[in-house]
Amino acid sequence: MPKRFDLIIGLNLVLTLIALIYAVFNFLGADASQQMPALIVAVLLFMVAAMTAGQWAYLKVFLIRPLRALERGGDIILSTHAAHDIEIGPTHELGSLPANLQTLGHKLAESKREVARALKTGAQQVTQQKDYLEQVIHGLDEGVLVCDSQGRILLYNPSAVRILKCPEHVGLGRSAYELIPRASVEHTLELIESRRADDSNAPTTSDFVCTVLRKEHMLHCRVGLMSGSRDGGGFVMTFSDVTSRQGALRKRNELLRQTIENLRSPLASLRAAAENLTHYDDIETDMRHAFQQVIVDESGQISAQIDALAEESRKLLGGEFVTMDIRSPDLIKQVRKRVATDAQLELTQTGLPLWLRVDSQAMVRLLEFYIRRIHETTGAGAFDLEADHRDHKVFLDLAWEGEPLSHTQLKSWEEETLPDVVGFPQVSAVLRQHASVVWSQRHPRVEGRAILRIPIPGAGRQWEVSSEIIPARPISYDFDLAEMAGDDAQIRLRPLRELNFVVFDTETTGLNPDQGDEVISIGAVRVVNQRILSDETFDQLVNPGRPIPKQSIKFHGITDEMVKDAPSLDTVLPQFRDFVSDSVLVAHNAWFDMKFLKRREAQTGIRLRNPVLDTLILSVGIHGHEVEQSLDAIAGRLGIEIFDRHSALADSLATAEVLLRLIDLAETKGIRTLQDAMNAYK
Amino acid sequence: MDKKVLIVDDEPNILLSLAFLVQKAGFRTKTAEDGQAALDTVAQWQPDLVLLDVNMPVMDGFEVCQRLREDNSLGDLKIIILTAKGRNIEKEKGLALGADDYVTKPFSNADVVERIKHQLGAA
Repeated sequence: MPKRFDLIIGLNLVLTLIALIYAVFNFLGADASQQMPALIVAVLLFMVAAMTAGQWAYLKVFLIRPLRALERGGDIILSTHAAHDIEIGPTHELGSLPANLQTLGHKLAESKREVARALKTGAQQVTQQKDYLEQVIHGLDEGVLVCDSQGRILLYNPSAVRILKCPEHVGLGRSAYELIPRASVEHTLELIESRRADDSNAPTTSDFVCTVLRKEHMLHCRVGLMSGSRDGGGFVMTFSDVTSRQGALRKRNELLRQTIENLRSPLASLRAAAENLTHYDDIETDMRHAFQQVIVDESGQISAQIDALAEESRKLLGGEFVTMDIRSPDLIKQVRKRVATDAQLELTQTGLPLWLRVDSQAMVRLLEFYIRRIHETTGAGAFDLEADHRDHKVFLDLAWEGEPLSHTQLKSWEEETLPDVVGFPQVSAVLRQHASVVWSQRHPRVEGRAILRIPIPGAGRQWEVSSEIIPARPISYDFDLAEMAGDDAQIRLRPLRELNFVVFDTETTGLNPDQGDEVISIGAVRVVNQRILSDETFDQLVNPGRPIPKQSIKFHGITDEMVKDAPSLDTVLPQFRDFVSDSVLVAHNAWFDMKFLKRREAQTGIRLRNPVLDTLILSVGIHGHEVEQSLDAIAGRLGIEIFDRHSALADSLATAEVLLRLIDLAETKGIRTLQDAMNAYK
Repeated sequence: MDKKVLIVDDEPNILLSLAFLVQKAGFRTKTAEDGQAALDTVAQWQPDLVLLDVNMPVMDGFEVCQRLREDNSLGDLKIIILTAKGRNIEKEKGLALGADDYVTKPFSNADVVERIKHQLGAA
């Protein structure tokens, strides 16, 4: 700007000078009469030139130079040195501008210093806290794993390695699910999420017990979400080994139970005698005296009991009873490991997974004990172990081929002592610890089999997670299903109870295979001899070779990311066929699933020629068209509680449970063979 | 003819009160203080109902119950279990072993009588 200003002033001067010279020439060449006006013009022009020059000099000294100094200073303040002193003379016409700019510069410098100081202190504090946190985590006796939403380990401490006892699997980026059962962790996280969805003040952590994969020991775990949801920031898990921690805690429970029980009998006598005395006026004197004596005796008894309770109560204080939530497959797996040492014993896990609230270590020893004793007594070698549930009650059912045991037999075993159980190692004590008893009866479903039944507290959590209402698929009956099944006529004439089934379910990108929808997951479970073999499952994600529509994800929870490394249906179908082998295929609303599988037949050469039984059609045959026939509705009618409707596998487990109950009912409607069942809609 | 009720408990005090109460309700009663005596009395006296305590030494109520149910000639015999263990699973076990009803100690006299009458169709 100043240069342009110089140019304008210069141009101005030059024009004035030219005009001046022109006026002087006019003056010299003019006659006397015209010389006077020319002189005036020349003087005026000279004065204009002189004033312009003067103004220029003034502006230059008092405005333009100080402005340039200000410009330089401003640049330095802004870009390099905020505390820079602006080099400007005392004489200028800029008023307080330089001083203000100078002050701004100093303030800027000061705040920069402050920010730097704060940053430095902050960084020091963060480092300190990080060191401190690391020290704490490292020094903890409890194992700590911090994982991302996929379960990959982001941080762990030495105790984690020590407690998990498999250093080869603990490492940054490794999956925690190689160590801790995925189902236990995910169910617990889901539980936390669902509790917090209902109540934002609900705790962000929850506990459970599980087995270390491939190992024998049991962990008490606590998991917590790092932010409000799993997808947000993964989870933290702390855990300790509870394999051998019991003792005084159990004693407390035992004493309390005993005292209450001991009070009941004297109280019963007291109450009965007192009521008799009150209600009947015509009691003979002898009888009246007898009742009075009863009251005196029993009151004394009760007083003595109370004294004993007061004495013991001091010992009862403190400690928390160690029953913890564990999923039934984890518990059953422990039992199986223990009996596996004996080649004659075989234990099969049947039924659906349930959460149990038990002292797992004692319960594992107890079940092992019963299996060995029953084997010795009856010769049975093959056992099923199932967590069954009904009306919010959970039973552990140990089943075998043969007759129920006598009460006397069971009673005599209750006196025995379990190995490696601290505290109260007696069989009866472990039962009491779980507020339980044991009895033997005929198998409720299967002829010729007996069960040993131990009712145990079910963990409340399975009834807590409100299973999201998932809209059912469109229901329709495909009456051709019976015809499109395999042509083995013989199998169709066999009774349902004798058949082996594979109950399966698929998850898909949508409802229309003809419009490009594909399978993204297949889940299946084997049902043999009326038992759900929940250990023999098929659970496979399938890459559909197309994007998964966002709106479908809420039904199945499967994302593109999850299937990107999964095999395609062409690879999965042969595996599925091998799993199915010659079993009868079962699905709910089976036409839907079969439609997806059948259309790949030509492409893969895989033909599923097995007979297909639709639980929907079977249910229609039993309950009629008038009632709702969704899986949930049928389960509700049959008194089956479905806790887990999240995946193809979970749905096939639920369908398997429905199948077994339907088979029981079918006989009352004269539906006995597979043929009957496949045509039940008629 | 009055129906017959056998009361089995190892506590003489409760036997005294129960026997009195059940007689007042219009039934004939006998008592037994242990499981074996109970089985013997059932065989000889052929009661219509047994009021059976669970906690007895030597042979407890559950075993008595199981044995009585193994005897097919006693198909009409009603069994009410008396238990000092106030837990549903004890009741469940009693019912699984063949009992018809259960009463938890301490009980109200009226309740016991009502259950006996109900079982014997005399309510």
